[in-house]
Amino acid sequence: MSVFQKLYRYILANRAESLLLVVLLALAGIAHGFNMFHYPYLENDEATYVTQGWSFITHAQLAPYTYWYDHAPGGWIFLSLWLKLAGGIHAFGGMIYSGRVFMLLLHMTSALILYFIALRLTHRRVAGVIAVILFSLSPLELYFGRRVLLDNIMTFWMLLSILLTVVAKGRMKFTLASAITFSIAILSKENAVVIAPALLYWLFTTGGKKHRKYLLTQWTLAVAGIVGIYFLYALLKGELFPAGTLLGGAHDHVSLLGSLQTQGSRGAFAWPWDPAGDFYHGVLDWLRIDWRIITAGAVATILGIIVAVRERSYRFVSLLLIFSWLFLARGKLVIVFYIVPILPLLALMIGMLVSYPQQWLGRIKYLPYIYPTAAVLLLLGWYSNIPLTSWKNDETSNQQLAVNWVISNVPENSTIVIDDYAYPPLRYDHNYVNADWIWKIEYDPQITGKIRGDWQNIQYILLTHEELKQIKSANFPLTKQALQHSELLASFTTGTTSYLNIPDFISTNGDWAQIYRVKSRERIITQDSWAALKSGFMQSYGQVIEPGSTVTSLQRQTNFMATALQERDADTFAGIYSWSRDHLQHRAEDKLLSSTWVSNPEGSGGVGESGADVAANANLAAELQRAASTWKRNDYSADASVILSDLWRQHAVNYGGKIFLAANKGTPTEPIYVPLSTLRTLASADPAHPWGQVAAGEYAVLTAQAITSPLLSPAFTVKPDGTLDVAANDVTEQSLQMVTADLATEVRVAKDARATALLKGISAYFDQHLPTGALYHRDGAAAGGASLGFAAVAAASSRVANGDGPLATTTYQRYLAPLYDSKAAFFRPTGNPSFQLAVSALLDLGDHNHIELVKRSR
Amino acid sequence: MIDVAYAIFLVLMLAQGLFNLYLTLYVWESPERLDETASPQEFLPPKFGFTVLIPARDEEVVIAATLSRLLRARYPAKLLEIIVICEASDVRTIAAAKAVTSRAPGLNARVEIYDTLPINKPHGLNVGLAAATQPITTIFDAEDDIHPDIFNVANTIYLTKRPDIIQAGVQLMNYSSNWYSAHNVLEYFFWFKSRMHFHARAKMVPLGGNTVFFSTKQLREVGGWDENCLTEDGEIGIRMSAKGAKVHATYDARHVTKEETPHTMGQFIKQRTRWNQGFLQILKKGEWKKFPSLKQRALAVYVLSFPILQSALLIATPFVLALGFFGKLPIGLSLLSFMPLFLVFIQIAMHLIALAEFRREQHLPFKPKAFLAVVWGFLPYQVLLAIASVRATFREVRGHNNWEKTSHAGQHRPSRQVPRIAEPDVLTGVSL
Repeated sequence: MSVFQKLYRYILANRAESLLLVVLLALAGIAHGFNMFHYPYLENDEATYVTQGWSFITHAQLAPYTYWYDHAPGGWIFLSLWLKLAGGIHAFGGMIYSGRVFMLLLHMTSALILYFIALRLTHRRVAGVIAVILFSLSPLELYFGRRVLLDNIMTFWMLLSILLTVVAKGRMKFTLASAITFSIAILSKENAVVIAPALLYWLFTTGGKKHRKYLLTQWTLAVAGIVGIYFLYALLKGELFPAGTLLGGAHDHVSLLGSLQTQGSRGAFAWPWDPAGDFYHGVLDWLRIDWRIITAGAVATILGIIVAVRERSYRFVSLLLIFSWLFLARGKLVIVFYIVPILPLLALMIGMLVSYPQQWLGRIKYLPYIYPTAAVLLLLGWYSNIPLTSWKNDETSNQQLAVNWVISNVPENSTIVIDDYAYPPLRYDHNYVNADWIWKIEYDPQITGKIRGDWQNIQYILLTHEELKQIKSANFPLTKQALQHSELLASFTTGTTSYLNIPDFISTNGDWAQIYRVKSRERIITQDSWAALKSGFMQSYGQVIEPGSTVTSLQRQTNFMATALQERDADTFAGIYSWSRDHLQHRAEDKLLSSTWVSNPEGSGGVGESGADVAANANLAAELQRAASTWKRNDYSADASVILSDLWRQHAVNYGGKIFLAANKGTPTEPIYVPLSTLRTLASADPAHPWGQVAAGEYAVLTAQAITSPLLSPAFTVKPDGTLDVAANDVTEQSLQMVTADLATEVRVAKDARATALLKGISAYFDQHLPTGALYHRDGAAAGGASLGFAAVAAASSRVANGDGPLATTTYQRYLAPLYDSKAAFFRPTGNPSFQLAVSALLDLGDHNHIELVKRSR
Repeated sequence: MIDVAYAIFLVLMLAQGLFNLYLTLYVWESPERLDETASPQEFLPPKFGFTVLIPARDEEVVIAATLSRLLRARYPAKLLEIIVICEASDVRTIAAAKAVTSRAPGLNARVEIYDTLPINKPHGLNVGLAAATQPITTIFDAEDDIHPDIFNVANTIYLTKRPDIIQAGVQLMNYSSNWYSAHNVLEYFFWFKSRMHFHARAKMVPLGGNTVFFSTKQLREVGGWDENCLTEDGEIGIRMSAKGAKVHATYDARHVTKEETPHTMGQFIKQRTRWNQGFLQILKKGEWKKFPSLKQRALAVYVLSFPILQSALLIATPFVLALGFFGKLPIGLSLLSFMPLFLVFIQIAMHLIALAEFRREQHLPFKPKAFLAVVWGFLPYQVLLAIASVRATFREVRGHNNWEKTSHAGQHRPSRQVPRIAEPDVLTGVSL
């Protein structure tokens, strides 16, 4: 007689019970299945197990990465059969979803098994009905039971083993079946082993005097033998003993015993009542998610123990519960989903206890029917106001959208740090061969090897709650660095219930995802260097001052503001500006800022040189205008207009038809070189004044200079009739660097032909002289020492602007890279902030022009 | 390709091991089954008459005691007929037997003497059968320690279960005499307590050499025992079960017929060689082809060739383990290579438990040495069995047959020349 025929006969013979089971299964299926693709969010373990299953079924490998015995493989081997059966990767819209369908089937089967366990132990149906309802409606089970977790697979096998143990009654076949299923439970998730004493107790007590010694031995040996296959597997692969031990050999390899030891020692010991312990934490979490089953279960555990004194079957379930609880309360690592296998046992005990009084009701009319009906209705009433989160919330769409974004925006060969949930779509549906799970990038020597252990080789980060949590716990040092040096590209946080604070690595729920791009090596240096500059040269809320010095100049303040803007550091920008305004904007005649502030040792101070630094004020106005458009700050723009009006009014001077800016309008002095990029900004932001004419004048001067020497000087002398006195000017490496950087920016931003022409000349000069180190001032004196750095920056800038990438890189590598102290994030000499800012600007320029100045490690 | 062949070999080896283990533990499948195989709780009034055949050869030392025990059997004397069968030249045994029978003239006991060839047990049995007058014929060996209630057990089973043949338990007792005795004892224990029941249910029973009850009429219909077979007991079992005889097996610690293990390793190997060779003879004779179902035929071939198969597998085992450990095999095959070892562990564990149970139910003193021997002697014992199988195969292939050899010699001085072959002719097969 086939199984189906048997089933059919059973149904015919037990119509009422079959109907009851159909109703219970429908309840279990609907409660578990409805909205299960959207809640809870996709956890990286889920993907780990489905991908490991998939690699087992497709490549006969236990994991897509090196299998390190993190868990025994029984769970995902079982899962792999389902994946194969259900149609592979694309079934149900994705592998994890397919896994979740499997969990649904396991849950429904487990519910059925639970019913029969209760029935066999009590011979009262209400026990099974209540157990199934509790098991299916518990928000804890809905939360963790839907996830593709080994614990769920283990729970299924554990329940099956319990049922077979209950059914066995001394029969060898069932006893062996119990042993086999229990072994699979252990091989699915090792902690199943804790209930072994309870199973042995029941086999012993129901086995019959003549049988039990055979049965118990067979059971124990079968379990040992089947679980032993796992150890044998490791032994045969030479991966049983840890590397570096007598039996493990010297070469580096994964090890089962090593992993067991690691897993076993996870978590610091704490007494169950210690608020710092995992167990205490876990209980709080469980109570928060589902206080009903936890409190009712705790009461039931205690009552169960009392009933167990007289009733053998309650003793069995009590033992199951006691050993399970003892495991959780042992004082070591407790992950919140460790509650999963206990939930059905709690439900079972509650159901059995509710059914207990039924034995006394037999004599009273109708009561044997009224009592269980009332019990079930009361239970449903009690559960009627549980939160609807499980059926309403959508926690996975953001994660799905983030993956879709990556697929449409990130090139396939990019090195991407991912949460494992993105592995199946990126690696199986698409060819992102360098998208790797964060744990592997951090810890798997083979994968860390892909980035050569250098976090700067990471290009993108698909950031999720799980990753952030581990970064917070200092588990992902590489990704942490990468994240801190990256920029947000896309953020999927619609409807998230999480409190998110990325800089402090805080997230409270997993229903969001973001994509970051790690900055270029150039930008990483500018970022670090900027942080070092701030901590080295900034005081108060925005005062730039060199250690040991008492003078703060407006020029330096504006330089720092420029870099703050370059680094998109709005807070620091605002701080420096505020400080400058508060301390330097005190002139009665105009709103221009004074040149310097002098601090005295008591901490107070006063304006030093009250005269306005024309270039600095112009630069300040330009930075304010740029900041205004970058950060949408109209107040900056308004402030800049005021300064610009006064600047024009006080300092614009006509030299024979050419307009320059000069320190003193009354008695014309030498004009002041205002950076061309500043003037361009002002021209577009402040059309009320003809800033473009000033720029044209400066270009004319520079072009005239270039006729005699490519070494341009920003300190030029113009006669009142507008003619240039070339010979009167000297040029230093630093001033040359200023002009070069300025021109390079003009080429980059405005594609200015005049600037291009001038840079060609400068570049040619460096081609000839830089390699020899024979740099000369315009007056013929040799340049020396630190100035070489400025010269190199100038040379590299001109080459970048010329589009000569390889030569620019060589220049940077030869002259500047050796000066970089990556620990301090400073270019030597460290005491010179101008040099830092200069290199930073060069790197910024290089990054904008897509020229990789900094060496790649591959 | 080689991998596939090896995998198939391993799977077959594993299947064989599991099946063998299943037979060993068959009776413990459920408490109900274990209860069924025990003796009846209450005896019904005696109804059937029994003819007890005791073939004896050079048994003058023990025959008297055996007969005395039989005469004290708790069964009406008129329903018991005891026939000791001796060859004419064995005058001392004849004298010893007659001394007992003449002292109890009220009893129906006598000595039958034959003087034709061959001089062996089946011949003796056939002589006894010809003289039998009771409806049930049963066989005991001269040195057997027979329980006084065994006829009540058989009578009750015939009345309640109506079988054609009853095979009751035979048990070696001296489990700590030699290093191999515990293993030998356990072979009997598992054979009669467990395997025999499986065979009975499968209706393919190689019977044991004594404590077996037949219908006299049926015995005569099939022409008695095969005098050319070294294991006539197994042969007649297969021949009769192929004709559809219903065999009932029973084992009860209280009622087993008690025997001893061979005293020396040499005797042990000789005895086992003869059994194995006898099985090969049965296999060659081909009576098993008459079994109605394929299952039965397959089981018959399996059981009859088992000693040889077992030895071949034993020899293969170290190679399989070495391949598993050192060979560059796919990991699945390596793992599979270790499964035979795992089965050995289970067998040893089951042996230890069974020995403890045997010791307790027979009320024997506890001998730790014997339990140790179960563990350390496991493999050496397999080696003994292997030697016996190889010898048996060799002798059968070369046509060596003790009986033929002695028949020629016996024409001159049979009593001297005929090697003693009447070792306890009980068991048909080996377990494990």
